[in-house]
Amino acid sequence: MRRLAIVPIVLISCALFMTSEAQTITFSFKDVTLDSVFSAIQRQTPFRFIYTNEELKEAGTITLSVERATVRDVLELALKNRPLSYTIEKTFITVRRKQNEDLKEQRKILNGVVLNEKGEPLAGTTINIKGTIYSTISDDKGNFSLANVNEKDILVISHVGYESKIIYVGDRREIEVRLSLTVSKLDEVQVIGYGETTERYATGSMSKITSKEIADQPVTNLLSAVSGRAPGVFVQSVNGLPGGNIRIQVRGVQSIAAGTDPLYVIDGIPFSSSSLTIGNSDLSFVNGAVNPLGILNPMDIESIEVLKDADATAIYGSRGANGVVLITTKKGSYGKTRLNVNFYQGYHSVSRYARYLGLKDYLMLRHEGFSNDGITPSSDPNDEYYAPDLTVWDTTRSTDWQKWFLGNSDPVTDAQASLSGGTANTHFLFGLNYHAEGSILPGDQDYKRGGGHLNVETGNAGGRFHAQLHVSYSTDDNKLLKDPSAVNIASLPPDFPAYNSDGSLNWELGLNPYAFLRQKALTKSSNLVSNALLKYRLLDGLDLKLNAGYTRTEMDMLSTLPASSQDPALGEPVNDAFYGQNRISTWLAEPQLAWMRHFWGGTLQALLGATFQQTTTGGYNLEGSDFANESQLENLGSAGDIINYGNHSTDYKYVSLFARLNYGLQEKYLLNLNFRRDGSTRFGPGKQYGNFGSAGAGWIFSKEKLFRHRIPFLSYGKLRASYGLVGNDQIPDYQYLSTYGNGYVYQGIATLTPQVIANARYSWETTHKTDIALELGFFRDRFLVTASYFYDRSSNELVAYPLPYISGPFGSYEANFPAVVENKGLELELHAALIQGNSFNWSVDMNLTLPKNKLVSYPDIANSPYANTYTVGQDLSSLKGYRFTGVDPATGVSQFLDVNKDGLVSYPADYLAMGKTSPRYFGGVGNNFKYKGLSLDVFFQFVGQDAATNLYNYIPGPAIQNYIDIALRRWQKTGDMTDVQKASADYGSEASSARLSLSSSGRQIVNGSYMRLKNISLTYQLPASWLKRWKFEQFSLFVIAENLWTLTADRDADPEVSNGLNYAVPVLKTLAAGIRFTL
Amino acid sequence: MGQPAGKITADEVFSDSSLLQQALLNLDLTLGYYEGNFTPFVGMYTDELGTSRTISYYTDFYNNNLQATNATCANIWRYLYSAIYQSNAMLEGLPGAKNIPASLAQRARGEAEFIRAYSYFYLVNIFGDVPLVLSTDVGKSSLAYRTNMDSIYAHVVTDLEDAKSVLLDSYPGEEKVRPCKWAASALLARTWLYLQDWKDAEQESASVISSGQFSLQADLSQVFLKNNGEAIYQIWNANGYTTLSGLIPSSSFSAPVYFLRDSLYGSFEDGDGRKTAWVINDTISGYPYHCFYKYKQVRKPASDADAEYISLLRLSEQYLIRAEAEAEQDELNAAITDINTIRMRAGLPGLNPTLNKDEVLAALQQERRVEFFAENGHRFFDLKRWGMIDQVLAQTKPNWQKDDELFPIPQGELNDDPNLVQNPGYH
Repeated sequence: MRRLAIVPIVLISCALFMTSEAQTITFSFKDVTLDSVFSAIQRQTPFRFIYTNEELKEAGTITLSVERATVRDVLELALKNRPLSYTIEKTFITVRRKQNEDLKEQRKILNGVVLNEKGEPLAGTTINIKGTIYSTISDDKGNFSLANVNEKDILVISHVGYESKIIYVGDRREIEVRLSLTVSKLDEVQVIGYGETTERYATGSMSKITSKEIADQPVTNLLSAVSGRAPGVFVQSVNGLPGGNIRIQVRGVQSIAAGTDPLYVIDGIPFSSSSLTIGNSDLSFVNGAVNPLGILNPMDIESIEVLKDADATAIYGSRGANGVVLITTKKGSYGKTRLNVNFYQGYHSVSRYARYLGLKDYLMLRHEGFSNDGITPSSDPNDEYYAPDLTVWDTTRSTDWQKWFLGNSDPVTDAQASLSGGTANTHFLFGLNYHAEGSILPGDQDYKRGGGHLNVETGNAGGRFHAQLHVSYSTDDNKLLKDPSAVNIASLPPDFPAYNSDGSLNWELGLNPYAFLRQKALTKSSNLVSNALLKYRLLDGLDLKLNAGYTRTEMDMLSTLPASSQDPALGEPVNDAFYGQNRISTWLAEPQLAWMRHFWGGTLQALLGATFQQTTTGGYNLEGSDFANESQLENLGSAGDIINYGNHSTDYKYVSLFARLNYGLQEKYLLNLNFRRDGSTRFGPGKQYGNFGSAGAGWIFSKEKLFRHRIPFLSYGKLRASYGLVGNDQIPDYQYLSTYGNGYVYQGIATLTPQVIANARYSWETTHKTDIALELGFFRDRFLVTASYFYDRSSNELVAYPLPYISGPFGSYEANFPAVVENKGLELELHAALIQGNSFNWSVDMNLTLPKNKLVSYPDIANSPYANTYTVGQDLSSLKGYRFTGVDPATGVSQFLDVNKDGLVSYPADYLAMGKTSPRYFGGVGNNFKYKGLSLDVFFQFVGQDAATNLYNYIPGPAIQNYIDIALRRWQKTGDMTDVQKASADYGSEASSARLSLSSSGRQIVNGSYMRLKNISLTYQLPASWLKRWKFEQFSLFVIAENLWTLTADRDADPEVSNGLNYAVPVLKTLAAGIRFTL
Repeated sequence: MGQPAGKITADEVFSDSSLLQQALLNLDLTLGYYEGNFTPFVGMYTDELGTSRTISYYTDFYNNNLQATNATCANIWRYLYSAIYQSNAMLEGLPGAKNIPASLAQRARGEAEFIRAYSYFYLVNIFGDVPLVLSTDVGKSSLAYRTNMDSIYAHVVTDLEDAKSVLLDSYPGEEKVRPCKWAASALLARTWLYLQDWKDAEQESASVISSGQFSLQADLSQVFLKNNGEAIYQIWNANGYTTLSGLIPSSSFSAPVYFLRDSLYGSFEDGDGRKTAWVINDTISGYPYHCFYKYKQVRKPASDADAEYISLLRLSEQYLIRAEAEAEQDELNAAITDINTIRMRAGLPGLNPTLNKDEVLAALQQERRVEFFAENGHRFFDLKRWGMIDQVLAQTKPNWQKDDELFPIPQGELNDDPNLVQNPGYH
């Protein structure tokens, strides 16, 4: 009967049905309830009653007799002095509680307060009188006031991130509304540049990774948690070791040679993702370039939002072209002080090994090479055909060097604790974290990270002033192997003896595994991120804000090169050590004015702001040599000789003006305009300023009557589109200036050397981004589907334009790439709550991206450095090389297509397109199962791509190194049909020459597609009764696993680490178990 | 927004004497980088050195199996062009320089011209025709074509003539690690010799020999000491041992990376002092090795009296240049006298004074072989200019092919400059 509350409204608006009232009624009752009276009326007239039993109960019993009375007379008598009133509409009589007569039918002022689920005031809530253009917004205390409210009016109360409420005004003059956090994914808060929105009202394209998704993954680097979860965002681990770089590409390769990283912003402060180690090979270790983002503690992060299209990124103007990754840290919340603890313990191992030959096969292959070439392996080092692996070493002893190098035990421990709580005006969160892992590599390696995080929010009681402060600090300590070429250990021959018979290291192959272990690489980093957001309400609807912050990352590096780790044949070894300290710091201030106003039935939000940013980098590098003792290498003071490579510094300044205008009409029609003017010192005089902007629009058509009535199961439907212009300024500083920097020392004097080929002509690159998307929700948003099409065109991309060394010793200079590059694609996202039961729930999230990249135009490409790399009309990752046509069954030698039929396979005439390495498709599928306290998440990631690998280039050749097992299907005798050529041991043989062509042939392109069980987590939440007894607010146990299983088309190369085993350590597999509780 | 701070701009370098000096020193430094990447490798490439290493980094040279992608070839090219770039930058900046004394500006010009000439001399001899780049303007160089050798030699001569005219007799400072007038002259003498301009070669080398600035070291073990009397131009190093120390075995326990091939070791005449002073013999695991020992200070602290610098130009070459030029002009007696000067210093008897021209030239060739073995690529260049390389190397190098006379143009250069064409035999 509750539905009746709405019905009278409809009835009142209709004309009265007068004729029925003429009919008369006769009855006599004693001590009956009113419904007996109503029943009598219904029997004797066509009138029908609408009432609720509760209301009648309050009316008590009645004794009444009437004869031939009209309906009105009977009702007047029956309801007299009772708390009930009636209305008659056509043949319906509605009986309801009596209203205050004074207010009836009058317009009034309604005052109210909006509170969130915790009872705190909720500012910025929209209160709209349904069907009208009248609306207001709650203030900082949650209060609002609406004039001209009729008791029949219905209020629609909505707030980003909360469930909307519909409230019947009735006779109230004051109301209190409590909104609960939204259930629909569509209404979750999404952080955008300088503001917030929800998927429902967004006009731009973005993806969100929540803290829960991060917590479910035992990742060392935060960015790993994004992999596979966001459509259009391609994540690739460059190296599996701690500190190893992780590349993120948003919607394809916008820039060609450099600077394809998105802009990272932590709580409003831009954060440099470029490695501090680049450019110093002595301090670039086996984990490659170190990404400073790796120092962040993943568990401190509340959400990661990846902004993709122009609408979302144009507010970042010149830095938005490669997408923007917004990282938001966790904040405290209102309520009693809680202690949260999260702990896990697990271990790492290599996700996959390459299949190298065992000793027997290896020796057979080598011998076969010699006999194929008609030569004999010699034990004389002076001989051309010296083959110690066959003639000198003990061929009965075998070592699996790959397992020796990558197969070591590697425990991982992670502990997090935080305290949070607060009053209505002040909240805080304080957390500490610790993470430690061993290493899969042999020797004394490990990685430790620890840090703290503080977040305080406060405001004065009146709500005019609000301040939010955030500081997080983390520090890590990474002990690794120094020499990146240590990865070559994996391909040492199985009978390679690391030691000579006299106990000295064996250097015959130019490397020694134990020597690598004696070299240390120590990196200590620290990272401070701090910011303050101050807000002051100048007028109702007008806020003055200041976002100010400071970040600083420091890396302190030391690598040692003890004499005992060096090949003595290359000169008398010297105890050497390299010291480096590098830092980057950024300060930023962004004053902003935010204005909100309601008119024309909609809400206008305007933002005007300015950015002042300065980033400085600096550091120095020293080399200490001639240490008397190997144990003193970490103490520079003990060096006999110190070489100063000088210090370096850069200073980057950035100023901007930005503005946004957002108008939402009737929560149906959305318009969003962004503008930004940027100035950057990375550009030369006259080229420093650039303008960027976008326009986005959305139409929530599911709110239109037509769709509401015709397609009732469509709970949400939105069409949105955006177009805009964004840029990229990720180029090194001072490239327009001809500068000199420190060279080395000559005649005891530090020299100066040119640092760059200056180019005063380069200017901003521009990317035009177009995005169209359809978003649909079915059955009260249980099923959500989003399909986006993006079309980006970049021109004048800033690249390190390749130059031959005849133009200068740098290999490149900064210039605009005189070409148009297109990235387009389709992104599909599906969320389905398949089963929503009382005890069992099953939901699925899927995403799929189908990207396409094309070089649209390049004037006069034939006369450019790209003449033999890029082809107009093709993908930029397309590779050219010789066309491998198979192994000649007669000779066993690899054959290549002689395109110009000149009898020679030669560059560049015989180069043909070999394929591309950019992904054809990628995505992820996640399943979440919940049964009572158990929750199981299973996440698969998949990529369809071709990859270039070097594993095939060397087989089976004269080099003394192990080969992977495809060598087993090599050509052995005339007539063999196979794709692997014969073994050879002579550098001069025909097969050996062909081997060299193999490395620049299509043979190196393999199917690099893979599907990876990226993540599994099983969590058991202890039942409420238990929690109550032990006074826990929450307690769960969990098991988590990362990269547990991988299915690949090509089973040898690691599919994610791009270059295969020979260059980098594959991604790691993690298994861990832990607990999580709240007190 | 103002100009960023914290950088030394080119304008500042050319308006401050001490900064300009610092920039100038980097030219010599760069040549030093090149040298270490060249000498041992070209030694393996010809018939001088063997290697105990089985990895392609070494064996590709030893087996005459160079590819366009060879990293060492690319380094050689890169360091030489880097020296050229820096010289060009110096020569472009000097005319507009402010606050620089004229004497320093002149010296800087001469040194830059010398370094540029030296670099081009090596480039043409290693790679054949190479692009002649005389400006730092990317627009002029990035799509350059290869220039024929004659034009490059002509430019080398121009640079050296000018350097000779502006550089002083004496070295700047105490050491011989920056070019003076006589370094330009010595390289010019070598250039005339390579161009077979016998008359100029004779004159130029004579002017160096008679300058009174240099004298042959009587003690063979002192020929490569720093600033020794024979040195004309050397490359400085901090601790007294050169970047060529890799050529020298550091211990008698493990096999040396490089060793003298038997054919070279066997080519010394009995009693040749160089065979003992410049070669060291070790026996490792039962195998005898003869190793390069011109430089000995693998490891000595700085300021040691035995400290060594790499010699790029030394007086004995001038004697042999003059001898060859004289012989080619049928001045056989004079030629024999000059050859004997070198022979006698090595403890060998003088040549038979009745030798005919071919015999004198043959003696000269032998003398150059043992005097300059594993030094600055002399053997490689000499065999080529004498037209003997195919015939000689065919005896000891089974993979030697005619096209191996030139190193491959680095693949990266072909990629970045589509107007460059690879040398024959490489693909």
